[in-house]
Amino acid sequence: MTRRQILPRPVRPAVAGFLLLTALAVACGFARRAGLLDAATGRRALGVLVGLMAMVTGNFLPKMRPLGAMGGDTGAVAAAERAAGWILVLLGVAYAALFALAPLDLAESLSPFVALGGIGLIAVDWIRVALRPRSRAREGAGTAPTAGQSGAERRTLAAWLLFALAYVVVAASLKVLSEGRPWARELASWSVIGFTIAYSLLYAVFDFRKRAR
Amino acid sequence: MTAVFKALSDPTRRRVLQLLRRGPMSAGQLAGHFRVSKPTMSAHFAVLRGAGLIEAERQGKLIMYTLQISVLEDALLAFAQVFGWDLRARPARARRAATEVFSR
Repeated sequence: MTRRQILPRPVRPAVAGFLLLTALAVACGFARRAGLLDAATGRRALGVLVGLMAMVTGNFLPKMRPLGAMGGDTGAVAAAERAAGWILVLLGVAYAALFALAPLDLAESLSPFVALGGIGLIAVDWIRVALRPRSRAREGAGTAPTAGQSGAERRTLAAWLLFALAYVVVAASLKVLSEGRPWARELASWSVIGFTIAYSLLYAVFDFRKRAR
Repeated sequence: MTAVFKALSDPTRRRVLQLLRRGPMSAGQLAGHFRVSKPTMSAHFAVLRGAGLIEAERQGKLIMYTLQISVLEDALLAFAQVFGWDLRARPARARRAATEVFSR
């Protein structure tokens, strides 16, 4: 009898990495409040940690298949997932490099454009894949295997990781863009609901296309 | 990570990964692209599966393979493709180097 594992294999390092970085970000916040870190160093460290979160999530995204086996044109869906992974990793590298190397004012003013630009690019690409006319399966390529239980679990966890990352990135970006006004935090919280609705709609479109096949 | 390096060191396995970029394929469809025996192909699939680079799922009588590659592994694959990274060449080089050392 095989032992049932709490997390499917490809998801484990992504979840562990994300949790570790979140714990470090919380520790940074406490250290700043306790006066162990000065404000500038604390802000830099948080920026680097957000960049690392994007890198970790992006690296494992194609393995977690957040859109996996949903749609009809599986090759195109997998390519969109790989592209999203690359975009997130590059976004993370740019974000971390900005906060590690650039003057803090410049890093803070550029970071929202880097982050929101990357997330926007992924959203546009996924919507393009969801809405594009179905192509005939390429020669030699087969049909998608049905997503088993572990596939569905993996997709759910991938979606949660993406929501968490999007919340962190959007909250950080809005804080900078609004110059710390209180409505920014509220808007960031609402954005999670926005992401959930957008992902559900995307899921519904892919599912509809799969059934219509 | 050693398993990933081992999997990517073979040109046949790299070609399998390239083919799977198009979408899921059955073992038979993949084997049709190579002039090697079925047991050899099965061994290649086992190495790729062991490294977590592909996922196998049974669909009736067919075994369907799907690419399951992280961004880092994708970058390593591209690197291996560009530079013709082949670990099988290493023992020959090592033998040559050893011969030179002992002939001194």
